[in-house]
Amino acid sequence: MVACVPRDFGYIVLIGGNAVTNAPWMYIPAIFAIVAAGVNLTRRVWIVNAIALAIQYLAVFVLLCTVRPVSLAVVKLFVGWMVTLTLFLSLITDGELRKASGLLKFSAGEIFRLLAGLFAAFFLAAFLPSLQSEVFPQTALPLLLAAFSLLVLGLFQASMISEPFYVIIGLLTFLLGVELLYASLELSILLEALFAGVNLGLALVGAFFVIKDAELLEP
Amino acid sequence: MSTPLIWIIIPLGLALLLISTRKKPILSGILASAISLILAVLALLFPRDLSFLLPDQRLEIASSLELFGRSLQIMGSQLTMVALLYGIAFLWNLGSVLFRPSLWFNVLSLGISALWIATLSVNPFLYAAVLIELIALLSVPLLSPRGMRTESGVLRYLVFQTLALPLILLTGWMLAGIGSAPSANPLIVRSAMLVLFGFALWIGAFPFHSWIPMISEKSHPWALSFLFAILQTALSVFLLQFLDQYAWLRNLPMIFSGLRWIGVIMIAVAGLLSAVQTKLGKSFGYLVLYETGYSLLAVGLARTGGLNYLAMLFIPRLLSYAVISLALSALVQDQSPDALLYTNQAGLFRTRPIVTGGILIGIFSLLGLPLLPLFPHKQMLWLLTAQLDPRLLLWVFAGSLGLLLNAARLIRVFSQERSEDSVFQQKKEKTGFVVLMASMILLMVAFGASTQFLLPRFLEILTPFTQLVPTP
Repeated sequence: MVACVPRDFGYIVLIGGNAVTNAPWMYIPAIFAIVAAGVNLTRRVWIVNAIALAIQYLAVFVLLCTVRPVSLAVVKLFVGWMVTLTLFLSLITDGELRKASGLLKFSAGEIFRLLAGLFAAFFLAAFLPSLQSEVFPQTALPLLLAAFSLLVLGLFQASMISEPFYVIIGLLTFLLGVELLYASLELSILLEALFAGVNLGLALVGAFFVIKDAELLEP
Repeated sequence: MSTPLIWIIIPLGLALLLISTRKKPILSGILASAISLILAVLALLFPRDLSFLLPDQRLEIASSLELFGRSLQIMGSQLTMVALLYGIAFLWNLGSVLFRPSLWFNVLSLGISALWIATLSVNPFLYAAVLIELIALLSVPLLSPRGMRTESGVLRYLVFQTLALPLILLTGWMLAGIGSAPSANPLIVRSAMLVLFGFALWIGAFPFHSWIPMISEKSHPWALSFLFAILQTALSVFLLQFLDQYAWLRNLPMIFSGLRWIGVIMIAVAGLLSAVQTKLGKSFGYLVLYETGYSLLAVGLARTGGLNYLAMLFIPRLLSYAVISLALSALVQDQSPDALLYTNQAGLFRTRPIVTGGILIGIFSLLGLPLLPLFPHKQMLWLLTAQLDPRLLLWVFAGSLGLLLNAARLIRVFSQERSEDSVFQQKKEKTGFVVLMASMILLMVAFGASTQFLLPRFLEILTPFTQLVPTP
């Protein structure tokens, strides 16, 4: 059964085809997704970034279940974890996987990115209710918050950093925001398939960048 | 059997099969060229009503193919465009036999050509945004192959192409609510802004053009020129699809004048910046931007007949790109990474006259000098521009002056005495290179000499756009 957005633009969404209210619990996965994106924006520890990316996909999967049948939402989770695994394996192959040391130490750049991310998230939280009422009345607020935060944090990451691995993670985050937003607006199986292709393609490109740059460093 | 099967699915399958030959460059290049040529010729000769009269029956080829509830549709009127895109693939695959830009060039060029055709034929066509993202991803191994550090230009290219994706998709969703709303409706203004912003990111319109010179500075000229040639051609037609399909967009009061202004600004900026470049690769990037400016200007002149000249610009422009990039590829072949620096080109007239000739003929052709194939069409665009708003012509003049200065600088460098430590030695060019270069220059001369005979055939590209180009 295909889930759909409510016609009356009220606060009712469907989970796996069953109607549920726009419950506060939806903020939990939304916040998880935003925190994971924030970690990816801030930290430069590859293992942490890979774990945060996996959590991000899991949180988005939970949110997607409110607008899609679980059987369709789970595809995105699998694709996301495959993407994470591809990037992670390329880092292992590279042999340069950085150890998760100094987790509590923040560099000036990391603090700057953290503050920028926090500012963006708070700004969105304040601004989104009016955007929702004007442009996206049929989308639940927690979902909108997660989608726009992923869009903005992903954009920050892709534009603030020149290291290919992090740019790719930024683009994946940005795309995840797009997919989440679009999922709340329209259902198209072709588009879902194309998005899956784009995500896997981005992961392969990321792995390609990591491996080829590592090859150049080899003596 | 259906047209999308012939020109999209089968080529994609053949591209996959070509993977097995990628380590045999000559075989792979020849196969990819042959496949592209067959597809291009087939598209040119295929009946436009998609039916064949057999002795006892009428065989009709379907124009659409269902895919997950959506469809790919190639009408008879779109086949000239299909032929043009496969023609580009043919020419560049042929050249790849001489210069191996990447192990994956033949496979990816065929796949990318098929995907561009899918982009122009997917229904609803706003889904094309995701296909363009896939094309950008497939372009990466060509722009930044193994053995080369990942440069920021490629990353920026990926970022810009990805940014355009939600803008176009959201427009598709918003369009459902537009219908026949008046053009002052805020929803229309919002949708138009999203579409145009997304399109500007895709095509590298000013001020989102920075990735083009960055990429062209570092990537192999042959791979790069293929990607730019096919991107610019397909996106120009894609813009026409938008304008033709959406009355609300083409009826916006400022849309065509806006496109004209963006076009002339791009011509001026690209031309002037090309005059101060120190690397041939980067300079080529600005030439591409210069031509993007002309495409936008021609679309902006749609109401006064500019689209005819847009369609007739395609082939001469592609030949100019091919001639320049062929010459640049010959320079980078077996040379140091600095082979494209202006300072290393001293005395090139004497050591490599064919290469220098190719570069200069290509630039002069893009400038629109008389006797070269772009001249009549650019002249008409200048005339139409002057009739509509003479101020625009000043910008065009500034850009052309910049490009002319660039050509003058190159002539001065090429004719300088060679220094002792010059990286170039007297070199005998490969026969294949000479033959290909001579053929392309001859084709350019032929197009220049017989503009009214050969190029009007390509006006058929405009046939599907009945709202923009009303049938007489």
